[in-house]
Amino acid sequence: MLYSFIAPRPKRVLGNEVRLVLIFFATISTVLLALYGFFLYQNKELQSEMQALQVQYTEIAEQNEMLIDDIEFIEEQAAFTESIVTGNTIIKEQINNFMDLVPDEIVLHKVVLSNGTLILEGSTTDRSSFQNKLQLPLNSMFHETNVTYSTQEDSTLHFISRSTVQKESRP
Amino acid sequence: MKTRRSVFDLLVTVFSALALLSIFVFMVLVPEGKAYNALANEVQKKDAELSKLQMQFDQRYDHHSILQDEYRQAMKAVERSFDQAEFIEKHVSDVTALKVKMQKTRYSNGLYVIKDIDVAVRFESPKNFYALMEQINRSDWIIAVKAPITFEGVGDEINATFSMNVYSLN
Repeated sequence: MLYSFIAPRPKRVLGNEVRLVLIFFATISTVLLALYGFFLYQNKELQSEMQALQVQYTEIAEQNEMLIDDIEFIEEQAAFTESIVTGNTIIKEQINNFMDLVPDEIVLHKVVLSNGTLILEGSTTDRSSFQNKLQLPLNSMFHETNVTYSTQEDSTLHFISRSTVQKESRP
Repeated sequence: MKTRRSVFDLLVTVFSALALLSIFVFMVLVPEGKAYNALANEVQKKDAELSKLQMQFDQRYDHHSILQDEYRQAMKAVERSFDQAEFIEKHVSDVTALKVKMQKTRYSNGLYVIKDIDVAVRFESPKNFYALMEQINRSDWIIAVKAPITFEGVGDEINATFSMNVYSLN
């Protein structure tokens, strides 16, 4: 390596220490800028992800509401249908139970079953037969039973019975 | 002299760089970092909410499917409009004779159309009547049998008259 004693040494604008410090800060700055870039990119990504999630959430919430309404509707309809089926079954069972009570000695000509009232028209061989075999069970099922008898030409006894259930009055 | 100059340059450089970096860090980088942190938390929270909602939706969907399967016939029945001829055709086999007569149509709470129908039926045994009632319960319409029900003996047979309400959705 040549070294001149007369040629001036080349002058530098920045000294070695300053250059070293500048390189150090430049590196730090680069890292910080990269971090800033990362934040900017991630924030943009997260915002679009958030928007997508929000849209999805709204859609599912709407579908959920529709489903809840539909479930309520089906349950209401099911309860309504079941109440009607139960009502029909009760009427059928009432008639069935009543028909089973009628003994062979009694012939029914007309039966009217309405809410809380049962009207029977028929004929029987004798009064005690009606009273023992039909009126007793009727008395246990209804609050009040009124019977009128009339003798027919063929000597059988014609009866009209009216049984009622007293409706409970609410205070 | 030269050494003092160099130290001055060095100090100016260091303090300038520190000042610029501090301004950048505190004015730009930290707020952006905080925004990132907050947004990440929000996304995580929303994701959890969405998962919870999705789970509820799945459970409700299963429940809905079960209900639909269970009450398919009832749902179809309530949507059907009553047809007299079809009713007679389906139920006359249980009895000797069956007549129906439409009385009036009315509305209930804006939800149901109720048709009031008078029915006259003739049968040989009460068992025929019970069978008819069971068939009405299983029929393609929602039918409520209404009292009073009148039975009259006619020869060896029985005449029954009653009314029924047929419900369908408005």
